[in-house]
Amino acid sequence: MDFQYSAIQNEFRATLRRFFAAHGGAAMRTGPRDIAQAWRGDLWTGLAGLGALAALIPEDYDGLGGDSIDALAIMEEAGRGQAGAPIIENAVIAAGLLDRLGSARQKQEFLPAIAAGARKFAFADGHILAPGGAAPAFELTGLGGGKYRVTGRQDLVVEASDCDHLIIVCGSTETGLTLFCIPRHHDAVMLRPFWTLDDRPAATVRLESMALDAGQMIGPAGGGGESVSTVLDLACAAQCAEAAGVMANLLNQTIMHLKTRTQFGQPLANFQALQHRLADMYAAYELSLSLTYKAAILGRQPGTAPHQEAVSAAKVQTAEAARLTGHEAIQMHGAMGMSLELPVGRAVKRLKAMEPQYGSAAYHLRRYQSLRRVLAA
Amino acid sequence: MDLTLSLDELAFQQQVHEFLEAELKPEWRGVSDIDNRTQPEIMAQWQAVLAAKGWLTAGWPAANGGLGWSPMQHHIFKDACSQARAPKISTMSIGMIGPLICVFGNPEQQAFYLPRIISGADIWCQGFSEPGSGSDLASLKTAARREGEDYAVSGQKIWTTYAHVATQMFCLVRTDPLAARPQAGISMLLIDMKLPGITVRPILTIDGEHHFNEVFFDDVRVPVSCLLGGEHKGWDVARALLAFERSGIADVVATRQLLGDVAAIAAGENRGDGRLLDEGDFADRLTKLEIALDALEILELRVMDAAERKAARDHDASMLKILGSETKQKIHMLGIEALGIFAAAWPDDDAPVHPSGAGAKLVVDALFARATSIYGGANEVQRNIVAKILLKSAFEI
Repeated sequence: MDFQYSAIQNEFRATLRRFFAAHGGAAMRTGPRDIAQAWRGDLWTGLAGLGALAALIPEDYDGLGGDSIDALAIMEEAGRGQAGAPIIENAVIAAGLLDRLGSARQKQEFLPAIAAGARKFAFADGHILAPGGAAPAFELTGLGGGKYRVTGRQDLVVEASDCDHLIIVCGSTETGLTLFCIPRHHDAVMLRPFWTLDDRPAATVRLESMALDAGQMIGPAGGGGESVSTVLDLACAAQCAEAAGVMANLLNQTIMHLKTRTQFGQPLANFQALQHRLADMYAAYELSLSLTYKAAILGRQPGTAPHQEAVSAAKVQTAEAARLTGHEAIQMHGAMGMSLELPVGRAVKRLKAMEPQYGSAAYHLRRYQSLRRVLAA
Repeated sequence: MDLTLSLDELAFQQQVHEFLEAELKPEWRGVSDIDNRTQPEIMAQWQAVLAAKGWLTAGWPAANGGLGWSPMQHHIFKDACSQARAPKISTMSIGMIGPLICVFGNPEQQAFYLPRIISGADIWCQGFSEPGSGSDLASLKTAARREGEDYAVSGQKIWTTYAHVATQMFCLVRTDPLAARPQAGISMLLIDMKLPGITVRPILTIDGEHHFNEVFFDDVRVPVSCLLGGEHKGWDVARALLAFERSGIADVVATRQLLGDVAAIAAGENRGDGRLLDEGDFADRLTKLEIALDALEILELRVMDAAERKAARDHDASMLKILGSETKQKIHMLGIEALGIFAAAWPDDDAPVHPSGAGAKLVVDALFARATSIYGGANEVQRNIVAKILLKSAFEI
């Protein structure tokens, strides 16, 4: 039984903490959207240089061959520094899918490029919002001879307007999922860019009779479902870790505010009503962090029923803790918590934007129920 | 990071399971706290079995029979006992006063009291709370005035669990009414409950049971040799209790069993269109509590892991106490909801019983479980402790 990071992981965390403190949302002076757009060029390759994008990629492809605990460490720090960087989209989802399903050629082409921060990916799939039950966004027609045509629309694709490649998912869970890697800059790829709630670049992605060939397919036709499900679970666990980091940040901000803000001639920290709310906020954080650790540890055997159950439990508990800590942080900051300028509101919006991603708490509650029955039987 | 037990821990766990399988008699299993009080002989028999194995006092200092178990070993042992539904070991005797006498007692006190604690010859109660001193314990007024080789003790204790079956009380008394700080004027006395001048009166609780008592002291002569840890040092002695045990505070295994009981009731309840267990809102609330228990289980293990490395934090025990008691109370309330109309009957012999058979006991247990967020430091006090540490100057999460 061990809930400690290794010495090397702790060093890695300290490095990431310094990096995100200098370049994350917390250090932002201009505006959140400038920072979001800044996760390209030198800053992105700088993050890659620390190993944050290579962590889960096998060593054969210039990666570090790490596991879900490394993802936990990276995302906790990304959350703490309010990075808002597309780490999960690249290091967990794109790398995970290509590693599991990609051909040797695809792996050679893309994995080292992800590790180095040279190519950026976004993931266009309805399963990102509603795993298992999403209506197919893209309709695939086989034309024979390894030629395909795809048409359709996916509404919210985070980082789509800021990537080099899109991984699209065609078909449904019944018919089987088929994945393709397509270039973003292409006549048949139409983007309508917008910002997410937490100031990340996103877009509606529309594909109009886009011609594809078998070389762009990732994995076998109709055979991507299991990998998508496993990788989205790893992404969900990583995002719970990011949420834990954001919550730690919110708690620290709130503690600092209670100690420094004076009313009625004394610091707010002296008022028991606020002390008790802070204690509850902290307990909620510690509870959800515990399940996030469990999901990360069981992520070493990804795709197994115990891993799925742990991920679902972590998401349910994290969503609840995120609401409580977010709303309490605003309340205890008073009117200042409502200000667009303060990092509190930004952190709360980050937590809100996470809620529906990689399966809502309601979806995961349902899945936990059914898995518990399976595991109990 | 790793969730598995080490090979040594697995071997120990196996040893505990085999021991329980062999030694824990079927009729001892599932004995409730209430039964422990009304039929203390079962607890005494079980403690004798544990004492023969040397495990009863595993947590005591090595010089007094302690085994030097790691925090994780204590956790494994407690979990296994809970899983086997073994009678609870007496908290007051084995968990509290035994270790206190080991640490603060003189050789004569250790020679006299410790064997009697282990054999169960003495049952101990705790004399802390008073009518005017609950959460504000340091304001206690029961007076002990030095007269020759005795203290003359006068005053009143209240909410004294076990006082009606106890033979001894470890009691906080005021020996210096003029001390600058109220904490500095307190001593701990070991008081024989048969001494003249002690009157015990029952207080029945809302579950209809006799757990609590009022204890009156009318010029009771307690020999000075019964002073534990020095005159006016009682507050330090009492505070040492806080550091003894972090394991088992949240009692996750027992709460999980309760959750199983509630699920069984809900599986047998038909409310219109199907089992209550499958009804959306009820099922969701039950599942959320199950997930909260999963979380609490890991949180407790994280605290054990920290304790192993001597890095446990001061607020860990408080947090586990708050979360453990309140989660259990929520599950109790869900159980009452599942029982439906049967929950409204007072559990006498003639009262209708829910088809699952679980009814009556769950309701009275749920009523008494309201005490868990009050005793051992009310949860409000625990929240004060957590917040105080969070708001300390350099604390960062």
